[in-house]
Amino acid sequence: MESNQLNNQIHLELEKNRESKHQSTLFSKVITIGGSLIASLFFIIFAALCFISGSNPALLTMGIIISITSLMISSKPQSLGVATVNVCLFCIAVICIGFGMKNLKINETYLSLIIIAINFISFLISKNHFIKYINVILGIGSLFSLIFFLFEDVIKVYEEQYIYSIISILSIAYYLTSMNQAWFYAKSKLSLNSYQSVIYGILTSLILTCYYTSFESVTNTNWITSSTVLLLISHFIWKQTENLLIKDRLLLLFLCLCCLGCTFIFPAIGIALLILIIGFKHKNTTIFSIGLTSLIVMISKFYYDLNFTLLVKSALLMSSGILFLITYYIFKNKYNENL
Amino acid sequence: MEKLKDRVLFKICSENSFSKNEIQGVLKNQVYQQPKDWKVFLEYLFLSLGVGFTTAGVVFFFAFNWDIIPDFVKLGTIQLLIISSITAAYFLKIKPNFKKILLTASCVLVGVLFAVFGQIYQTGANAYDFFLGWTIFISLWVIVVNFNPLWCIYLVLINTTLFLYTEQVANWEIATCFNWLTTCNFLALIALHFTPKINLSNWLFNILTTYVIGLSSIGVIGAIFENWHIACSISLIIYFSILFSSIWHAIKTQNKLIIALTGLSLICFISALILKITDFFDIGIFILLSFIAVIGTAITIQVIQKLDKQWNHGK
Repeated sequence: MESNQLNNQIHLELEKNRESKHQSTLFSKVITIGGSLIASLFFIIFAALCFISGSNPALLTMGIIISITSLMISSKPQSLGVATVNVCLFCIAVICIGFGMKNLKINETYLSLIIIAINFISFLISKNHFIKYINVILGIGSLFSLIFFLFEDVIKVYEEQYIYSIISILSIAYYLTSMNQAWFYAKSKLSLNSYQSVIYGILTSLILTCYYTSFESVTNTNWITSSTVLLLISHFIWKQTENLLIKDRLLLLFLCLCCLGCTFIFPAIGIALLILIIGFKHKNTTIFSIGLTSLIVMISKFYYDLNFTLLVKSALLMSSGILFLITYYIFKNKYNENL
Repeated sequence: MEKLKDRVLFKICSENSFSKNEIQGVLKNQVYQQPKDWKVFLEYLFLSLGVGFTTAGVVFFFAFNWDIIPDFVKLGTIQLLIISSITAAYFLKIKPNFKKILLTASCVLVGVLFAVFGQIYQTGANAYDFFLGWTIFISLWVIVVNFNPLWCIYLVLINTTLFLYTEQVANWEIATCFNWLTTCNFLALIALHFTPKINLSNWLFNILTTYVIGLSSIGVIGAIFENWHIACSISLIIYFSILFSSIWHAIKTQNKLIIALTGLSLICFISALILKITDFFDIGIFILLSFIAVIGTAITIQVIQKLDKQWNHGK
């Protein structure tokens, strides 16, 4: 339910936006990412050479000093120029600390905890979206590394299941975060300001893990991920079709699950589709493009890797195509606009 | 009801406090896609997947039976597809964009036809000849159709032809290769942008600009590290010509993206120059370059913000 106050605010902002020309933010992303990459690249070379020459303590000290400086700067509201420099400094700090800690012979569990703590504190303090985004990615990676090192003996035996469980957890996290945007916006200023960074951070981690596992050979252990993804997509379809009759909802769900049948042995396709439909729902062109590209790549990879003759692949492709065309026909003729 | 963008709602929520239900209502009714948008999307999705999969299945079927298909059928099928798509585009009463998509498909099929022709007759042509022939034969269609994705494909073909020519036929040095690539793409960008009948879309303009500035930067950095000769001097001239014309155009059209790209390009150029002059003598030079990159980025942003204020003040 929308209140009058909220509606008034919306009308005021829309009026303001009509008067002012919309400023593209593409240039700021280009310069921030480009500048950080160039600065980080040179610093990686410097850090690598220091590492080879054995200057780890110096690197670590410099990394800590630069990261504290960066956090102090990012705790206050910044102009675009300062924010960009701050992101560059933070990237340099991360590289310094990474190389500096390499040979200190710290137990991996404590190392993961330290990295989680650093990223958590940085996430809370920083007002810079890009730094928060890096914090989320590093935090997720460190968290799963911590779990791996804590239960190393067990996980090493079930390594593939662990990786696919990570994908399942990330899929659920991404889905829940995307579907509860209102909660993030309403809860607190911190959650409001962190929402975009969290979404993109989880999405990046999910995509990277997905691509990594997809370019390994397909195994039997990914039923965990498959079931999770199919459940998430089913839930999404069920929620989106609230205005339809129960039998229509069930028919639509059944058709979609039939179309998604083959994704049970290759869940990356389901994940790409999930990203695509969530990106479309939120009118987020970046996430939509990532989903669309991933869908095309994963479908191509799936059919390329199938251990069948070209004739069997041809039959599979044509039957899938006919199924989609039948679904299109049913969908076009059966459902009106009240989806 | 006017559509609300997420960033506007974000701004409102950051200045005020609202309940979850209120925000959920606004998101559902004014931000997120509506049922009619979902219907259109799902129709396009199922149709694209259906057509794509069926087409791929047909292609795979032909691939499986390739050896036993007579040569006449191979060439005939592709020619029939080209003629069908052109005929359909001309006679069917469909939207102009769909006609252009059909003609784009026929341009791609010309390449397929040449590839099959080369395979059947074992012409022994190298890849350069194939791409050159493909580019020449679709040139007139590209100009007539005037469709941005087709222009993109055409430019990819030109670049591939040029690159293969330098590698397989001419055997030029790297600096000369990059000079030719940069010049051709720069001239293409000017031609496409300033020809009134060609409605160059933003995405293609941004991609081309990024590509031209990137190519010129890579070319001049390569020239810096080569043994100096006339081609390296030409690289330098080309680079600065592109740089100054980009900045001039960016200021004239108030395009911040081009200024950001030229700023990044200059940072790379200056870094390469410093590395060449100092000749990698100390690992400390890398930390200097790192800070130069940071400072250069900050300066670029300051310049953009100053220009932005001038442009907005001017309005």
